Amino acid sequence: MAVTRYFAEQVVRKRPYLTEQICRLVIEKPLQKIQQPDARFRFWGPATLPGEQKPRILRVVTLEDGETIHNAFIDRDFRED
Amino acid sequence: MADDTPESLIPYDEIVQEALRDVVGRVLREVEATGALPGGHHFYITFRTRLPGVTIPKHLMDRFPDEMTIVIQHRFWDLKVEPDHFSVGLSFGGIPSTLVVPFAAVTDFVDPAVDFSLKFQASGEALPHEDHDPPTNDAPTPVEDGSNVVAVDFKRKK
Repeated sequence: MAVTRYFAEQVVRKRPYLTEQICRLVIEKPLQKIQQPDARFRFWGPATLPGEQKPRILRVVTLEDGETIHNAFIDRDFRED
Repeated sequence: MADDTPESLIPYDEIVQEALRDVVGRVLREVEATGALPGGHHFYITFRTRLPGVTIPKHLMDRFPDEMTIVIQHRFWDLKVEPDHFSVGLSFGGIPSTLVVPFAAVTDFVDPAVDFSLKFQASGEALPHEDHDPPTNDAPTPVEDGSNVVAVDFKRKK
């Protein structure tokens, strides 16, 4: 899996719960996927964080290739339409 | 403030960078020997893709013409560590690929599990799109803007 330098240096430092596996699962089986105006992709999917029972909704942002992870965070505002 | 520090005739920066690169090799060698990452440790490794000795599939070279960051955590295989490079199997978009990366091409090594990171100056040409001054060996303080300067400061004893 490839990530951006920003993800490796900034994002995982702020959110140590992020793992390769939970990000990959969201990309592979998203509840929703949209392309941003800048051509990057947003994926939403359930992710069970370490030490938790109930899954939360994780938003993963990739580059234009739809694979290289640039950002990821828990999205409390997600509503599945 | 005048800096009367004489120019070093010993290439401390280079020596330290080589020593720090050995850290990466040693860590990867331990993973190779045991076949698994200890505990929650995992690595993000950034390297220059066009430096001599780097071997990656064309579709990755097209996508990452300057540098790429790989994750060694859950899905990797055939990690082999040699004195001057390592190779590892990784999946990109479901496509298995083998990457060969000389340690000289590595610019960043991060282990988020323990908030450990190393930065290196890649030995080779600089990235053409860098918008900061090219790194030099006579900077008095470490640069913390993400440029390719090792984060080591040589303090002089007063």
